[in-house]
Amino acid sequence: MMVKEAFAQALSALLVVLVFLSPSPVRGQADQTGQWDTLDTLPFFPIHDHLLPDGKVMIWPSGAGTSGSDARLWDPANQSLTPLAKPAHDIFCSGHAYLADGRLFVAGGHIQNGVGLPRATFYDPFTNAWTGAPDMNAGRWYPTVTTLANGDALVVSGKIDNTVGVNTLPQVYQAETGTWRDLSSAVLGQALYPMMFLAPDGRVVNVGPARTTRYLDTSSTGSWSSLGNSGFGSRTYGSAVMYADGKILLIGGGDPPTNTAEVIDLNQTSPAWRFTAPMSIARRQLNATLLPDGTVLVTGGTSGAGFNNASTPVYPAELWDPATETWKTLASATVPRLYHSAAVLLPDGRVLSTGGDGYLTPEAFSPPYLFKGARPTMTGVPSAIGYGQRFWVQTAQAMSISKVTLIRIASVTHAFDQNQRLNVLAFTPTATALEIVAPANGNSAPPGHYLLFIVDANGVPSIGGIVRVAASAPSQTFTLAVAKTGTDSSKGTVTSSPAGIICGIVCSKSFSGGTVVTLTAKALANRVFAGWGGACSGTATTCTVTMDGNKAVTASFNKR
Amino acid sequence: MSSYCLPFGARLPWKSIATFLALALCLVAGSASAVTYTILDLATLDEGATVVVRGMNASGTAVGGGRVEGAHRGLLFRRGGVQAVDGLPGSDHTVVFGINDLGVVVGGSNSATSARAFLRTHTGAVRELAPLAGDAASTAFGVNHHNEAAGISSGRIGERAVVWTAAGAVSVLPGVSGAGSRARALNDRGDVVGVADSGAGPRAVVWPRGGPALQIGALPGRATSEAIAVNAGGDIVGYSADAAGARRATLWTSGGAVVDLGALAGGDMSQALAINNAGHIVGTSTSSVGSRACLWTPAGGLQDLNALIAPSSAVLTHATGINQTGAIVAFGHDAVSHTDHDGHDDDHELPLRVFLLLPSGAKP
Repeated sequence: MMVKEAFAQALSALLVVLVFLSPSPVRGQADQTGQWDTLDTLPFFPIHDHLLPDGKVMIWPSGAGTSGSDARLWDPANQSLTPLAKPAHDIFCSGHAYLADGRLFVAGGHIQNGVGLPRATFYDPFTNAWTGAPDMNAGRWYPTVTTLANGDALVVSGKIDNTVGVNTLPQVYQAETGTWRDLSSAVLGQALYPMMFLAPDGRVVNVGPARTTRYLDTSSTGSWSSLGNSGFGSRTYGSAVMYADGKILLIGGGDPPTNTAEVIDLNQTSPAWRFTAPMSIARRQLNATLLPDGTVLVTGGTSGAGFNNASTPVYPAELWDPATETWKTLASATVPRLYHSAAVLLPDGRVLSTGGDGYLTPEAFSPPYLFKGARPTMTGVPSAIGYGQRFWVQTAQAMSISKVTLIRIASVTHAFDQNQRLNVLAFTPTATALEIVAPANGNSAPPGHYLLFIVDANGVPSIGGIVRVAASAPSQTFTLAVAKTGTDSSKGTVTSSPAGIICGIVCSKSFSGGTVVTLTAKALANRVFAGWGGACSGTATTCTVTMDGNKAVTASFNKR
Repeated sequence: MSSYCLPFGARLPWKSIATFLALALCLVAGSASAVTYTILDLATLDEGATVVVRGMNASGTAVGGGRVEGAHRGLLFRRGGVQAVDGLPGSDHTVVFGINDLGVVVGGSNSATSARAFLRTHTGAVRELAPLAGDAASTAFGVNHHNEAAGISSGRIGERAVVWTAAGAVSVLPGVSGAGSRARALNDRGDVVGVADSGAGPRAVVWPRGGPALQIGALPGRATSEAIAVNAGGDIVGYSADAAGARRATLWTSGGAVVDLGALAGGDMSQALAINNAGHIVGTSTSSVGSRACLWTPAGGLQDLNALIAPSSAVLTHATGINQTGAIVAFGHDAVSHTDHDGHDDDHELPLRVFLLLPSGAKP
C-alpha cells in the first residue's frame, strides 16, 4: 500500500508539474488569435460608450424618459461602476464627439422613437457636470457629430420625426462663441448616423452608408461636392474608420449584409473607391476598432438578412492589416453584439465590447499583441502637444520601437465611432527616448484627447498614454541635475551652455526638450577632474547632454 | 398668449376656453366613438431609416419616403402596394411630402450638391421647384388643389418659407425677416402654415393668403410651437413644446382659440399631425402603454385609434394623415411582448408598418 501511495503521490505531483509546465492551449493560441474575457454583468446594456480623458469609460443606456440619461462610469482597472451626473434631457440616440478641451459634446436625443430632440449639451469629465448649449434648428435623432480642425463641431442628419424625416440642415457648433452657424447652402438629405470624417484638406467627407459619397465644405454657409460612388452600394449599419491620415476603410453593412470592404485615399489628386480583400464573414451591426499597431479589429454583427437578425450573430473577430490589406480571423466572442452594441479601445490595448439589445454582459478582447512578449514601457507622455511640435517620451526600449500611433479617444454609439481616426507619427529614437513629431495640423488630427502608443518591432504596443492635441502647447522641459562627487567634491565647478547651471551654486536647471547642453567641469587648484557619471561619461572636461528626458549627471573631483 | 384672433373681435380669457374645452374633452373622452375602422396593410418598411409617412388625398394615397433597394426614394402608399417614385434625375435621396387630390406630389430630392424641391404630376412628369435666386436648396412640403406648393428655400440668408405658383415661380412669404422660417402646409385658399424663429425659439405661424406672417402662439407655459397642417377652413394643428422639449398637441381654431388637445391616459406628450375639413384631427400621444396613434373629433374627443380597430397584431403609434372621407393613414409596428430591460422601447428596431384605416361603412 505504501508503495502504491507513494507512486500515486509521485504521479500526481508529476502531473501537476507537467500541467504547470505545458503551454496553455488557450495561451498558445492567444498570440495568434487573441482572447476574449467575460466581464462583470452590468445593470443595463450600454448604447453610448466613451473613453474619457482619464482612461475610464462613460456609458449610458437606451430608453425613453430618464433611463437614457443614466450615465455611469466604468473603471477598466476593477470593473467598478459609479453613477455620474445626469443630463437635463434624454440623450439616447444622440450623436457625440469630443471637443478640444476634453468635454463631450452631445447633439440631439430622444423624444420617442423616430422623434429627435433639438437639444445639445456638454459633459465635462473633469467636473462631472452637464452644461446646456443653445438648441439646434430642429430635432435630431441619430445625428453625426464631427470635430473640426479648429475645435468646432459639425452636426449633420438626425431625424426630426416621421412626418418630416431627416434634418437636412448641417450646423456647426462654434466652440469659441457657443453659437450655431447654419450651413444653409448645404441642405441635403442624408442617411441616419452618416459616416463623416474630417479630411486632410479640411473638408468633411461623407462616405456612407449611402453609396453616393460627397465632400462638405464647412466654411461660410457650406457647400457639398461630389466624391463619386462607393462600389458596393448602400452599407446600412456597416462601419468605417480613418485608419491613416486621409485613408478610410469602409466595410460590411447592407441588407442582406456584405463581407466586402473598400478603401479610399483622400490624399490622392482624384480619390476613388476600390475594393480590397473582403472579410471572411458578411456582417452588419458590426463594430470596427482601430488598434495601437494600426490594424483594424472587427467584432460582432449579424450575417443574416433583416434589420437586426438575432439568429445569425457573428462571433469570430477579424483583423485587417492595412500594410497587406488582408484579413485574419481571430478568437470568437461568446456574446452576440448586434444592434446597439459598442466597442471601445482601452488604454491598456484591450477592446471593451458592450451591449447589443438585451446583452448586459460585456466582454474584453485582448488582441494577439498582448501575448507576444513584454510590452514596451513609456513614461513622460506630455499632457498636451501642439501641431508640428516635437515632443519626447522616455522608454528603455527606444531602439526597438518601430511605430508610434495616435488614436482619438473613442465615443461610440450604434456600433460606430463618429470620429475614429489614427495617425502614425514620425519619430527618432535615442538611447532612452523617442523624439516624436506631433500631427501637422488640425485637419490631420482635430484637437482633443488621444491615446499615444509606442509599438515595438513585434507589434507589441505600450500602454497608451493620454495626450491632448492642441493648436499649441508649452514646450516640454526636462531637468538636468548635476551632482559633484569624489574625494574633494567641493573643489570643482560645473557650468552649462546654454547657461543655467553653475554647480556648486545652481546644480539643477530645466531646459527645453531637445536642447543640447554642454557641461564643462573645472577643478580648482590642486584638484583634478576625475570624470563624469550618469548621463555623461569619460574624463574630458566637457560633455554634451541632449535633453530628451530628465537627466542626472555626476562630476567627480579629487585631490591631486 | 392663448388666443390670436377670436371671432367678432372678441378676446376671451384663456382659462375660460381651456376650462370649457377640457371639460368637453373629459365628457366625451370616456365614451366610445361610434366610428370604427377597417384596417388595411399598406407597407412594411425598415425602421432605422429615415422613413416618412404623410398624407393623404381623396383617393386614399399617402406619401413619404424610405429606403428601397438600397436607395432612399419617394413613396406612394396605395391600397394594393407601394410605389417608389423618383424625384430629380440621379438623386440619391428623395422624399415625397405632399399630395393633392389630383395626384400631384411634391417633395425634396437631392441633386449632386443640395436638396431641391420638385413637383411630380399624376402622369409622372417631374420638374424642379427652384429655390429663391441666390439660394442653393429647396424642399416642398405641401401642395394644394391649384398645384401651388409651400416649403423652404435655403441659402446664404438661411432657411426661408416660400411658396411656388402652379407655374413654378417661387416667392418668399411676406413678413418674415431674415432666416429661420419654414412653411409646412397650405390649403386650397392659399393659407400657409409653418414655423418661424421668433428670436426666442420657433413659433407657429400662419401666412393668410397675401397677408403678412401671423404668429399664433403656443399653449400657456410652453415656449415654442409649430404649425403642421391646416384645413380648408383655416383650422391649424401642430404642437406646443415646453422648455424640456415635451410636445403637446395643439389646435389653433380659425376663430382664434388655442386648444390643448391633451394626451392619452398615462401619457405626457402628444402631437397633432393632420386635420380634415370636418375638424377631425390625427396624431400621436404617449400613454401608459407607449406611443399610440390618436384621433381627436368633436364628437369623440381624444381616442386611441388602436381601440377603434378590430383586434390586430399591429400597434398603431402615429396617425399622420386624414382625408375628407375620414380615411386615416397611420403607422406602427407588430405588437411585441415587452420584456422591458430597463425602461427601453423594445419596438425601437421593429419594421415600420403602414396602414390605411377606413371608417366603418366605407368601401374598402
